Amino acid sequence: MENLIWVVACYQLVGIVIFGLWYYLAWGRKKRAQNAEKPGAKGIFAIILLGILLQAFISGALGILDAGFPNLMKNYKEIMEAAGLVEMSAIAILATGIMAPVGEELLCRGIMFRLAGKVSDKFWVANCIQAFAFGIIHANLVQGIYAFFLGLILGYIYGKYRNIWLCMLLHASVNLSANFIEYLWEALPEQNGMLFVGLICAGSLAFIVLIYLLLGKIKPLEEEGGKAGDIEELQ
Amino acid sequence: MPRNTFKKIGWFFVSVLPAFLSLTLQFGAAMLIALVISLAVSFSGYQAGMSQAETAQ
Repeated sequence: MENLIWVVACYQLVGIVIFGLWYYLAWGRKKRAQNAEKPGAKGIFAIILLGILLQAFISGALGILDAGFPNLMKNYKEIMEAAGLVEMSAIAILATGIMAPVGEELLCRGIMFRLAGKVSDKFWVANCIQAFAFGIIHANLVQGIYAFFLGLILGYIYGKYRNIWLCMLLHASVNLSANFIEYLWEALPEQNGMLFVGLICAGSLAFIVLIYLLLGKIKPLEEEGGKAGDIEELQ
Repeated sequence: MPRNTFKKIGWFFVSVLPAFLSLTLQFGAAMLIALVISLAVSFSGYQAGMSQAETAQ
């Protein structure tokens, strides 16, 4: 099992090089759209907090799912352990907390989102396609389903700020907080444990919705005179 | 079916194609590491469950 984290690290490194080159050569040298929003310090803080809350909600919901369907979760847990998401070693943190967000964001929000923009002028269509592909690359059912919804949120951040670095920040916040959220679950009292997990889940979801409302809606792409795939990038 | 629809379907497949490239990379990296480990094991003459002295014999 301990060799598998090196496989994950190798894959992430190859991915960063290939998708990074692809992204840079195709779109990376273009200037950012003039009317793109800037997040500011509060926006950046909200994005980091959003990542932690998303992780709390996902791992809480998976805990509830595990209590109801242990067989479904067995395979998922094995994959998570192999991928190093529950490990605290330096290579695991580097591979899953830093390299994975960089490589996957270059691939999904950097490349596939723009290609998906050719399918339709509508933002939500391109967002659903790249989120679907984001689910596929996780290569297992449980992670694929929640990665789809996470992909929609990452696509929303990308559509709002036109900045791939912010997507990497949110993704890293989700992945890095996975290890620390585990301590939260361990600290919960054994009696009525599921009730607390349910309450944390509901609370996280409420805050996620609140952050979404605070960040506000995405500017219609038509106003910029382009399609979702024509989004220009920050330098 | 209108030509535009075919074009859109085509772009859909093109847009999800990098996901499959990524999956291929994943399995490729796993295979490469497995190959390196198995080569290292075969050249070192190590056998699982045997002590160093037994391996040397």
